[in-house]
Amino acid sequence: MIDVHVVTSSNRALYAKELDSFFKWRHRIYVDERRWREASPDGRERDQFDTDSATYLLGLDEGELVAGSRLIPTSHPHLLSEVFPHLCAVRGVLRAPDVAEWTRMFVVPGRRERAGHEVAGEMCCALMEYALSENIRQFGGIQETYFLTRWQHYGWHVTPLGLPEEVDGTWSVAAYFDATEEALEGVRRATGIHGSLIVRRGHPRPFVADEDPEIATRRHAA
Amino acid sequence: MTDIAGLTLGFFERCQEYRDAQSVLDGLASHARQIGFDHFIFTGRPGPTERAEALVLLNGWPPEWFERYATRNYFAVDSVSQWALRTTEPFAWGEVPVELSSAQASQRVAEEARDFHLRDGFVVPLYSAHHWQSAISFASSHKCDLSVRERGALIMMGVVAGMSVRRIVGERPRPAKLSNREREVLGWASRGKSAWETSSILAISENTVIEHLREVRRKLDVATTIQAVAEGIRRGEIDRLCQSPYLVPDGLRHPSVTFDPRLAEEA
Repeated sequence: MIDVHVVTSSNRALYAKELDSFFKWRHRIYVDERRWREASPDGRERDQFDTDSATYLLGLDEGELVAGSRLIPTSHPHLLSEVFPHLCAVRGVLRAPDVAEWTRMFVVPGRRERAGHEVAGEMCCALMEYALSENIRQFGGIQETYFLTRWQHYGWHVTPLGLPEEVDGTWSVAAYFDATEEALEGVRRATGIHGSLIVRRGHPRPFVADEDPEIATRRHAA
Repeated sequence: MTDIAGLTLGFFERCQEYRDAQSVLDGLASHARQIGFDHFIFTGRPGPTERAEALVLLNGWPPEWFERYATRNYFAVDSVSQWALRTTEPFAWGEVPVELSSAQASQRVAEEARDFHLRDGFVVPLYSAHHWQSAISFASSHKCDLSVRERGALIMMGVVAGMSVRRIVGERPRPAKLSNREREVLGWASRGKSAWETSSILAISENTVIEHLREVRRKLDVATTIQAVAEGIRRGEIDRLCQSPYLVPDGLRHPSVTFDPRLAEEA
């Protein structure tokens, strides 16, 4: 199984090599393969959301990067709020410190399956585990509409924010999933993965700051 | 003007909560009607030797048309069905490549469909997590020039109906209705053992085995032991005991798992 390391602005010095590999893979996948973005002269793909508010989940296999993902608090500018707000036409763009936007999820080619486990499935387990451990209420983002059947297979509750539209020739939809114990059990059952995948080294910043006024108010009310 | 987007997201939400296929069928029928599609059918992709009608999961077609389509094996010549197997992209019936749709046999099917008020439509191909392929086809009584919003709504409806049926029909285990001994007897029957053979294996009398099997048939509401085996597998009652791989149901592809509203009415 892979280990999924939590990397934030506070512990990224420990992950210089892995992060560089992460941005290089992103260039190969999102620029060279999918042509979503212009080529970058340094061969690393970064966008306006790779700021200090981003949290990266890096899937490592014996130290080598095989998968990656990025989480951004929706209280900050994020892909749906800045680029695809029209996909949220029915329910509106979500903005809350404990709702995370999940983007740049990939598994490197050639490592998409490993010892009978789909690495993507391991990443989904890790995402749900991380969300629960950090008091994230919901996470999600723009995705291919057919991904929705995968979440159903995991027993996740899906909330779309609007109707699907064609984005670069693919029907895509904005949707979030609830982070719950049942959802974690469901994805573990469906993928046959047991136990924790998340690794924290150094001091990764908590996703939801305790001092966040909105969260404090909600905790107080509860 | 109806708020298609809001209605569709409401349907999406409700559909995730449905616990039986009839609710999905009714919900989809009433929602599809609201946006101008009176009929739909949701079917798995048949293997080379399989008949498509055995894989129909939700049938909202006029019964007479369905029967004709099935008995005359129109599936094999209907260009809409054939294109649904080859593409992963949703499409309007009128967008089927002309090489397929111009075939005489296909045009005849289209003409007959019009007699049943299935004039135009939209197909949403679906994929499950295990690459199980299926498609849902919505039909309208008039020519439709679908907007992006309408297409988006139909895709969303198809995806959530497919997800929900898959969840419901594939859902196991259900509350066990059989006793342990009844399950055991049915398990041996599923492996081809006669009542006498089972009686020696379990060291009970042959009459007791026969009595257990009668009770199993009664509980599962079937006439024969063979049907009881199929039903027992479908309900997840005997797969724990059932060792032979060919008896393990392949999810929705098992013919006894198909859902036909007409059967539900009878039951």
